[in-house]
This record gives sequence, C-alpha cells and structure tokens, in this order.
Amino acid sequence: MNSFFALFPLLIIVFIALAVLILEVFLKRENRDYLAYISLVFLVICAFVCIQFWNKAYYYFDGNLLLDQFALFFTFILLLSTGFVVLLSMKYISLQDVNYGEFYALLLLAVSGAIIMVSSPDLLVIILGLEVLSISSYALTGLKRKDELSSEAAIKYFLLGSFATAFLLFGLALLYGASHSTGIPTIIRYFNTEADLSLMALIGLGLIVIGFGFKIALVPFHMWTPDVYQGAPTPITAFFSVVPKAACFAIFLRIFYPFWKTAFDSQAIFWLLWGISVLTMVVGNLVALRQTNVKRILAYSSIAHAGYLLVALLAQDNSSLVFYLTVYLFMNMGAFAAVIALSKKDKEYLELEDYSGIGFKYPWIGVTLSIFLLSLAGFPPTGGFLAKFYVFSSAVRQGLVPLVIIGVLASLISVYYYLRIIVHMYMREPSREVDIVVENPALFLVLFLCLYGVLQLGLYPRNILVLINQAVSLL
Amino acid sequence: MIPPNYFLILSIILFVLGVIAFFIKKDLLTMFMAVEVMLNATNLAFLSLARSANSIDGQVIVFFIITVAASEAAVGLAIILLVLRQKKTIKTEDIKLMKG
Amino acid sequence: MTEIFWLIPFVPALSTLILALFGTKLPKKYVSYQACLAVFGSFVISVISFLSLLQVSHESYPLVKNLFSWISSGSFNVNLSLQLDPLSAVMAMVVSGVGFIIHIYSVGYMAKDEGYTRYFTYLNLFMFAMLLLVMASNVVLMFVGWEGVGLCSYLLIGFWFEKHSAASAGKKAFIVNRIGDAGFLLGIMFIFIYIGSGEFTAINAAIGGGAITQGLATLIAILLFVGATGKSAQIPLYIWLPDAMEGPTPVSALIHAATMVTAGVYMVARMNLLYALSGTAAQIVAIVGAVTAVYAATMALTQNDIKRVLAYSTISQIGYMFIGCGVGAYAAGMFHLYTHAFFKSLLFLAAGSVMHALSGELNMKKMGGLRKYLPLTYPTFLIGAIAIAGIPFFSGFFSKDAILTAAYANGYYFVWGLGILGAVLTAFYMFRLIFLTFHGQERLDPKVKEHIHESPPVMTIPLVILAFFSIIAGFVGLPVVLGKKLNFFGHFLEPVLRGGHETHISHDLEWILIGISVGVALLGIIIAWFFYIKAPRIPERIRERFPRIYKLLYNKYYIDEIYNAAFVNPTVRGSEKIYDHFDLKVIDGAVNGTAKVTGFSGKILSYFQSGLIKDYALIFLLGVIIFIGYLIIF
Repeated sequence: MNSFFALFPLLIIVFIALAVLILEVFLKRENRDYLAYISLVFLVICAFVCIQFWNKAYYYFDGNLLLDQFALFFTFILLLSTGFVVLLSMKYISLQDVNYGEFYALLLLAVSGAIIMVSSPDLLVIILGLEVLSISSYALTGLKRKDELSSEAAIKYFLLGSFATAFLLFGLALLYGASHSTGIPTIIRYFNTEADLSLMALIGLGLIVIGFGFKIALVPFHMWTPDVYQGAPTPITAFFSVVPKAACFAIFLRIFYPFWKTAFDSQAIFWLLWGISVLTMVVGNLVALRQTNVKRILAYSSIAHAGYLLVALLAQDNSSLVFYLTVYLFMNMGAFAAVIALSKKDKEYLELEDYSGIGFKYPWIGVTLSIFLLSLAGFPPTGGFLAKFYVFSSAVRQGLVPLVIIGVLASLISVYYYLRIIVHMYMREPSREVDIVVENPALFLVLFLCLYGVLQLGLYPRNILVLINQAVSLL
Repeated sequence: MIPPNYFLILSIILFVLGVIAFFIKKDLLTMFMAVEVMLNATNLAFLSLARSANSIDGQVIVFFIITVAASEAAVGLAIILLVLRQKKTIKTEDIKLMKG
Repeated sequence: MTEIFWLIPFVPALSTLILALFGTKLPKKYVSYQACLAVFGSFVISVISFLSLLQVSHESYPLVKNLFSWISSGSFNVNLSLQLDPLSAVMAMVVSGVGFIIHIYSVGYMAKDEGYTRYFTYLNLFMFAMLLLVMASNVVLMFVGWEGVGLCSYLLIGFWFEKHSAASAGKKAFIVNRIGDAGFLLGIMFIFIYIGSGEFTAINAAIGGGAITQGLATLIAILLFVGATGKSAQIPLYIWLPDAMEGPTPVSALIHAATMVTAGVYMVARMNLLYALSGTAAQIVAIVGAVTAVYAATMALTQNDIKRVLAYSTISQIGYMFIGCGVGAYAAGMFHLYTHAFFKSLLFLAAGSVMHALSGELNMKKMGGLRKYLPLTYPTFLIGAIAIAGIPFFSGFFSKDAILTAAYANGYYFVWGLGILGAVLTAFYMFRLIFLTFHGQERLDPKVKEHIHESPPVMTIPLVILAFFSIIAGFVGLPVVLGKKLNFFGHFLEPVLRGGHETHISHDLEWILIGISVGVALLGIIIAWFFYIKAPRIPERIRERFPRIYKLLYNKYYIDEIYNAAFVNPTVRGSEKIYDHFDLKVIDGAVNGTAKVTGFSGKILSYFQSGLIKDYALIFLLGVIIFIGYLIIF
C-alpha cells in the first residue's frame, strides 16, 4: 500500500534523536538519565508500531522505502538491540565520563541509518543509510574524549571506514553504469537477462560486497574491528557488534537470495564468499585465542560469528541466517552487558586477569556470563547451539560439507577461549582487587532479558521461527 | 565532443591516484584528503555513466555523494582534532596503542 | 501407568532447580535428603516403568511420550520427546539405581566439604542429563543430554578447582570431549539430511526400508563413533579419563565408571541397525574396543595411584563393551555395561573408603596390610576385584564371557585373542592392587596410621549393597550353554537389538571357551600373587632388568606427550626446536587458558594486526585486489 505510514518508524526515531539533542541543553548534567528514559519510551513505541504494521506492507517514495515483513522484522531487531544499548549506557556514561548529550542522539541517528538500510530495496538509499549509521558510529567511538584508546579507535574507524565507503560508492557507480539503475530488483533483472555480463557489472557487485563486508567485519576486511571494539565505549561496542552486522546481512539477503534462485551464473562470487567465510571463521577464532583483553576476545568472536552467518548465506537458507542473527543479538548483548557490569568510577575491568574469582564474588554476573559464553560456543540447550546446528545442517543439505567441517572445527577452537573466561571466573583465585558498582538495575534488566532470550530461543524457538519464516518468505 | 567513456577512465585513474595517495601520505589529514579524492572520482564516474546511459539519476546521485563527503569531513576533522589534542601529533605511525 | 516414565529425568531436574536457586539457604541435612530422594524417585519410576513394559507386547515398542515440539521449521523438526523401550528401561534403572547408591555414599564422603550443596546440585543435574540421554527418542535430544553430561563431568572433575591439577583436568576432559562431539554432531546432520528425521523409530524404519546406502551408513556410523570414543574414552580420545580422577571419588564412580562413560556404548547399541547395515563400522568398533581393552590394561599394570589403576581399568572394560557391540552381540555389550556399573562403582567407592581411612592417601606404595583395619572395605573391594577378573558366578564373569564367546563364534578370532590377553592383564592388575593395598607388610606413613579408621555406615552400607549386586547381577544373563531360556537379559533386549546376530557354536566348544576365560583369569591372579605376596622382590628385579619397558608403561607410552606435540599444532611436528617449545609445560599452559599457545597460525595472524592504519588499509586493498582479480579471471 502506498502510504505515508511507511515512514513512521523512521520518523519517530529521527524525531526523537533531534528532540534529545535539543532537550539536552535544558537539562542539568545529573538529570541526563531522562534522555535515556525518553529514548527508551520512543524506541518501545516504535517497536510497537512495527508490530502493528506486521500484516501490512506499506511503501512510499515510489517504493524506495518499503516496509515489508522482512524490513519490519529487522527493524524490530535493530530497535531491540538499541534499547539494550540505551539501558546499558545509563550508568556507564556517568561512571566513565562520557556523559554528553550527543550520546543518545548519535545512537538514535545511527539506528535510524540502519533502519533506512533494511527498509529499502534501492542500493543508493541503502548506502546513504549506511553512511548515516557509519558517521554517527565514528563520532560515538571517539566519545570517551579523555581516553587515548577511544580517540585512536575513532580515527582508525573513521579513516578505514571512509576508505571502504569510497570503494562501495565506486562499486555502485559501476553497477549503475552497467544496469542503468540502483534498484536491487532492476539490477538482478539485468544480471538475469544479459547474456554476457559486462566486467563492469561484476566488478561493481564485487566492490559492493566488499563495502558491506567491511562493516560486517569479514576477513580480510576486518582489520579495524578489534581495535575499534576495544577503544569504543563498551555499550557502543555492543552496538557495533550487532546493529551494523544485522543491517548488512539484511542487505546481503536482499541481494543474494534472488541471485541464488535464478539462472545467473554466480559461481565465481559464490566461491569467493565461500573462501571468505572459511577465512573469517578460522582467522577470527585463531586470533581470539591470543587475546587477554575481554573486549578484544569478544571482537574476534564477533568476527568468527560473521563467518558462521556467511555459511548460512551460502546455504541459501534465509530463516537459519535470521535465526542465527536473532540468537546472536541476545547472547552477544548479554556477554557485553556482563562485561559492562564489571566497572566502577573511571575504571573498567577488561583484562582476563581481572575476571579471576568473579564468579563467586558476583554470582549473578558469573552465571549469566557463563551461559552467554556457552551459548556463543554453541552449547545445548542454549540458543547458540540451536542456531549453529540449524545453520550447519542447512549447509550440509546444500552439499557444503567441507565448509561445515571447517566451521565445526573452527567453533571447536572457539571453545578454548570462551571457556578460558569461565575458567578464570570460577577456577582462579582472585589476583587483583576488583570492586564494582552493583546498583545498576537497568543493566541487570538487560542481563535477564538476554538470558531469557538465549534460553527461550534454545528451548522453545517455534514462535520466533514462524515469524522469521514469514519475514523471509517475501524475498 | 569527448566520449563519456574517457571520463570514466579519468575517474578510474583519479580513484587509483587517491588510493596511492592514501598510502604514501604520512599524516591523517592528507590521508583523509586522499579519500576525498576517491569520492570525487566516484562523482565523476557517476556523471560520465549517467551521460552514456542518458539518464538523470546519476547526476542526482552526485549530490548525495557530495553530502556524504561533507558530513564525513565534518566528523572526520573533529576526530583528527581530538587526536591532535591528545597525542600532539597526527602522524599515522604514532597511532598504534592497540594491536595484536 | 505406562505414561509416567517421562517423569524419570525430570525429578532430578526439579531438585537441581530448587538446589540451584535456594541451595545456599537450605540446611545441609535437607539438601542431602532432597538430592537422594529425587534420584530415588527416578529409580522407583524406572522400576515401575520397567514392570509396566513387561506387560506390553513387543509390537508396541517403543512407547513414546511427546512433551512438545522443540523446533519445527520446514523440513527440520525436532520434538522434545522421551521413549521407553527395553534398552532405555534397563539404562534408566542402572543409572538411577547406581546413582542413588552413590548419592547416599556421597552424603558421608562429602560431609565435611564446603561445597556440599554445590556438589549435590551438580550431581542432580548430571542425573537429569544422563537420564535425558538414555530416554531421548531422537538424536538431537540425545545430543543435548550428551553435552549436558559432559558439562557436569567438567564441573565435577574441576570441583576442587583450588587444586590446579583439578581445574586443568576438568578443562582437558571438556575439550577432548568436544572433539568427539564435533564428529557426533556431523553424524547427526547427515542423519537429518538423508533420513529427514532424528527420531530413532524413523531412523530404524529408514534403514529397514533401504533408504540409505551402505556407504552412507558407514559414514554416519563412524562419525557417531568418533563421538563415542570421546565420551567413552576409547583410543584415540581416552586421554582425559585418567586425569578426570582429580574429581571427588563418588564422582569418579558415578560418572567416570558406571554411567556417563558408557554412554558411547549405549549410543552404539541404540543405533545397532545402522552399525549392522554398515558392517565396516561395526568392525572398526570391535577393533578399537579390543585394542583399547588391551592397551589400557597394560597401562594399569604399573600405576601406583589406586584411582588411576581403576581409571585405566574402566577404559579397558569399556573396550570390552565395544567388542560386544562391534561383533554383533549388542546384548552382551549392554550386559557388560550393566554388570560393570555395579562392580566398577563398588571398586571406586571402596577405593574412596580407603582414601577416607588414610586421610586422602592414594599411593599404593604407601599402603599394605590394610585388611585388618578395614574389615568392611576389604571384603567388598575383594568382591569387586573378583567380579571384574571374571571368576565364575560373579557378575563380571557372565558378561565378559558372553562377549568373548560371541566374538569367537562370530569369527573375530583376533579380537577374541586380544580379549583373552586383556583378561589376563585385568586379573593381574586388579590383584596387584588388592595385594599391594590390603596384604603384605604395612608401608603406612606413621602420621596417617594414627588416624586410620573404617568409614561410617553411610559409606559402608552402599559398599555392601553394591557388593551384593556385583555377585548376583550376572544371574539374569546366564550363558547360552546352560539353556537358551536362561538369558533373560538378552531376551528382554532382543526386540530392540535386532541388528545383532549370533552364530551358534557347539556346546563343547562353548565349554572350552568358558574354561579358557576362567583359566586366564586364575592365571592372572596367580601371577599377581606370586609377584606381590610370594616373592615381592620380583617386580623390582623386572624393573631393574627391563627399565625401558617399565618406564614406557609407567609413563603411559608417553602418549600425553605425543599428543601434545602432534595434535595441538600439526604444523610444528618434526621441527626439533618447536617441539621443545610445545612440550608438556606449554600444553598445560594452553589447557589452563594462558595465551601462550595458539600455534603459529594465531601468532602470525595477530602479527598482521600491527596497530597501524596503513597496514590495515593495505590488507583491505589486497583483499579487494584478490577479490576483484578472481571475479575478472573466472
């Protein structure tokens, strides 16, 4: 239905981002929590709107903004993760001195970019959304102004990110030159009908994949990831590990799903993605073994998870990809929530050594973090196991047996480093003085919601799978 | 009249020059300028392709890219300033606190 | 009444939940009552289910209780459902019965431990996972139980994590098991793809209907068996079990002797049609089992740690069970599993009682002559040893004999030979243990001797009960030679184990085979008696005469070291310098989670992560060039 309603979720988020920016001026520093409450309320309203729209497909701007069930599902995921990030930030920003009014505004603008990405079938609009997301992200990374790591992370992210954007845009130019359009359906039609493809179109497509691959942190386009994850304020790291990945995978689904389905001879790009997936799983997990900083471990782990997601893409099983992404959201957010919990005024405990004995000192954090890590490692009956199992078995069904064997072995390696954190928490004597701020109800709310999500998806995933199947059936 | 393809080739050369400049320049600011060159090369590519396709879309896209470049510049310069204030330098080889 | 069997795993689950949430606030006494009663509840329900199963006709096996649909997405459906058939009924009874006795024993054994509640929480959780494993009606749920018992085993091995060795042993167990599990998981995926369902009934129907080829069956069976070698500590993945003895002794008895480690055998028996179809896979199972049986027995010969002897003995006995399954005598394999559960947990608990008496001493060299101090432990221990050695009329005799006879009858002479060799060794090392511990001169530490005492009744009563079963448990499966009808056990399992086959041999031959097994068992005992009672200097002299062989055996063939060098990083094998770098110390470091060992690959890869923007951009650019280059060329 051609309707202005298609703009609704986006407008709500952008409006509230600007409102927060203005309100900040009128609020005293210690009252900035109100900004978080306002953001949360509107995120919930927006999510509610998404639910209301579920059975209607609105579009606007000649179909350049298309709010189908696929877009709605992803929008919901993005809003949910942003909500978690807001909750995680409330205490964090005052403890770590990032208490600037822009914080929430930038966060909301970033997610509005991601929403634009998932709700458009036009590559130009998608890339503009990506830019909105990226530019806000650069600023968010550097927001810990007094921390050298933070600014270093920001400059690395910014320079490499804009470098990659240039490639992405150039790819779009080439694709446009070949197919005379930036709309994904037209481009796909071009690939299907053209008897001999021009080199220009292929290179263009390749560059676009690379550009998105940069954001997803696929090896070898991942180099920025660990440094940026380490330097950025931790709730923002959590945001980076989920939101851009989810949005970019949504784009991959929109592009590649019709590709796999048609006669287009996609062998070359298929095998390239195959190789990248192997590299991503192997490199991510191997390098993670060497890390001693928990944020870096989680950074490399998120790289490896991008590899598993790519397996799902290659398996041409959309619902397994989306399911994995959903589970990943909960377990990763949960893990980061536990990491954020271990902090006090002007100090975050991020080294593995700091985790020694934490499990007994702070039992709730210990138990939940252990469950999230076990889920990340793919241990039943958590969601992580089911997601991996689902992805890998669809891949075997597609005949990608070598890929699955590599994936299973890679996830075997990952057990080492996830377990290492648990071992530190429960089987080491505390070696350093760790003393955290415990009164943080918002954070514990996130921990419990994520725990619920991980277990719900692991034990009773049926309802969500039904929704996911509805969402992807439209592709 | 010069065929539009020549502009495309020029844009590719410009893009490659931008990439080269990104690698040989030693300070953050000029590296960022190299990225701007790459973006402008993209603009040129869009223009020439729009021309050969006889469509107006490409020319409109250029405006979007200019906007993107401008907003990147705004945030980027702020970040470079932040780095300069903290480290008193914007040489790239001095920025390596995090690695491994 | 037949429906209630689904409660079996969930009684301990409920208890776990209560203990986990409120355990710290509950009095110790209540904790032990609840934990024991929960397991006892499972046992009672198992017995009721078993009895009800006897009333039901064979055609209606298995009874399936579908609790809810776990995953349903297109062609990928998994139910959370449990099933009751003779196999799962027997397993459930053994697991909950032995589990109950060990729970009671633990009340005494762990009485003074700080982590009392934590211990029972884990133990109940283990019971839940194990019962889920044996009662699952599909492979995925079985895998959940499979991973769950692995996790509990890891938690319980590392229970005394203050001890560095305990923590690292726990981690080793977990990781080695995960290697096996990777194979298992791949096997499950193949089942789903080619059969379309993980339900055992569907799998059996597919095999019966000829839906899968022999080659495919072999592939799946071998992948599943890789999982079994990990869980059941067979070559090559056995290395974790001896170290697992770092855990509390009742845990060793329950998890690492009676129940969890036999899960692999149960799985192979459950999939018997698959193994029968493949043939090749069954042979591999038999050979791996036979080689493990002998190999582990030789390692048990020279260990001086009482629990490590029993650990190697467990590995060896599980080898026998796999022989049974591999040669097609699934019922015999399961029978050995069942008798072994009694006598091996008896041996472990008795060893625990010895430890308890000697303030934690484990070294047999520092024992001797304990017989008079431990009037109850000694006879029960002796009964266990006689049972495992295979002396007639004790349970181990019937089951081991059934396996070896079947191996011979089905033409696996080589396997049979290894089995006989293993039987000599078994008798020898068990009686070496008995003689060194309970006979001969006292070599006790004077300080230890002051406190020496027999264990409290809460520990000795379980010993007596288990000893009783170690004697009589075998009578439910008398040898065929005495009359076909008398093998109740085999009969009861027959409807499930249709993949099994047996060749009939003449009565005379069977008597001869029985004679040989009994003869070698006696031989082993006599040699041990000769070495350690009659002329105790002989082992010393052997050590002096053949120091290399002794050292080789004592150091367990240097297997741990070889593994460390070969498997942690295959690329480093062969290079002397790197070999030094990757010696035991570093491996332990890796197992303990230091960042040192990640292999070269990790190191080199992280070297690229130089921290410099330009290097990052360069790698990005190289990626682009390769990516685009590939697209252009192809």
